[in-house]
Amino acid sequence: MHTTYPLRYNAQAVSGNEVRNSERERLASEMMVHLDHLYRVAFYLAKNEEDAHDCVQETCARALNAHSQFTAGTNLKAWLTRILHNLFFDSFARNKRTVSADALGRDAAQKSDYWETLPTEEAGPEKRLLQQELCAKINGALKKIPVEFRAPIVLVDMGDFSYQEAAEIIACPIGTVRSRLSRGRKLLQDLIGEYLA
Amino acid sequence: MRCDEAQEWITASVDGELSADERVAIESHLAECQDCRTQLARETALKRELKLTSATVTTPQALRAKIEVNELGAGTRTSRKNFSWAWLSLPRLRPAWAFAIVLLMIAALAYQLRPGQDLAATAMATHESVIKGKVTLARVGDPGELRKELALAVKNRFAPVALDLSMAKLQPVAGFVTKIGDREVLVTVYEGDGPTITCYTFLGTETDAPKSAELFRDNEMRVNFFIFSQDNLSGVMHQEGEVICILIAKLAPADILNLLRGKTHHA
Repeated sequence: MHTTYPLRYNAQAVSGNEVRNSERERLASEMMVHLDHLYRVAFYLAKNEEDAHDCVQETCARALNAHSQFTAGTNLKAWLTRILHNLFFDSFARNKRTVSADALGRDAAQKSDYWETLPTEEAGPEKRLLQQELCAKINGALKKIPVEFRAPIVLVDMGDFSYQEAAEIIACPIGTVRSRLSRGRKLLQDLIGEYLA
Repeated sequence: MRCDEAQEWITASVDGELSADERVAIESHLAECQDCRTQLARETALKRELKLTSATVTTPQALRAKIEVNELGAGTRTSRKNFSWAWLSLPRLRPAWAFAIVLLMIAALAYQLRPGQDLAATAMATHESVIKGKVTLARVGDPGELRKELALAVKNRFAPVALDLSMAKLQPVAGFVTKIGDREVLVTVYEGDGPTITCYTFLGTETDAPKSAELFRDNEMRVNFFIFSQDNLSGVMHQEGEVICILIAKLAPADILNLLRGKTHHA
């Protein structure tokens, strides 16, 4: 003879959906910590702010929809950046104008000296003003160099990623990161070298 | 080591990415080569400036708010689960998308240009008219009846947002329907011990907020409040479902915000 017991309701138990929602919300919360970083990467990869907005928004949506693919305890910042990088190259960089690095070098050589462009009455401008000018020059110069050289700069110099992490995000060998970074910085120096101390 | 060979090593040295052997080799070259030492200093300076420059770029508040609303607020919704937007990028749909985008742009332009679209400014002007007695108010004793009558006036397409301001000793005493632009707006007048408050309810979205409004996000309520002021009047706008609610009063914006955050409830 079988004895049957009524199923006990476990108030602590949560459904699979609830667990997934909770994981999603945790990821969403942690994602917001990296929002400035994501926007920065998008801002420097994209040609305009509108694309950067769209890219970041879509990255967040994709990341949350794919939250189950993220392994807790691993590098969330790198995971989000990889999604953004892939999205950018799949969707936003298709119509990019290709500029050869050699042509850029020529452009830079033809540029007049920065100090010559400053009004003469501002012979001793304040440091903050100079810093703002330099920021504007760097932003302008970054937009001029090809994205394959810009991406490692954005990831390593601005995003604080190691070569290994940058290589995983870009999906290329570490040596390629190093050579592109070196070439990218050389291009930047050609464009703004005069302003650097 | 030649100088051209040293360039990538200099880059890696700036980033602290050299192995011990590589470091010894590049340091040996640098000790002998003034040009490469200069290059190392320039690249170090460039890296520092790049970092400083990037720190000036932060997420625009509007984008942050949009992500918080669309993504963080979506956590408890189930309709998005397993939903794929991939079909939207099908090549055969591109002409249709282009056409739809052009239509949307024309509609947006028409919307921007339509007369009297500044809802917040008109709401403030209406508030002044109510305070100065320029509007004849038909007073209704029963708040429930008032709400029902206002909803009926717009054929029950929407109803005024129900606010319990009894803690501030304010009661809904009168209401009327007005038109701002081509939109019908329900106005509820709250009176009592404190300053009169007028509440405007209409079908709309957060894009109806004045451009100058300051955004305050209540993460607990998951509501965006848009705060604006003009002369001695303050207004706070928020969305509840399909309707927009604007509260106008001669109060500090923070006071109106506190009333809304503490007292708003769905009737």
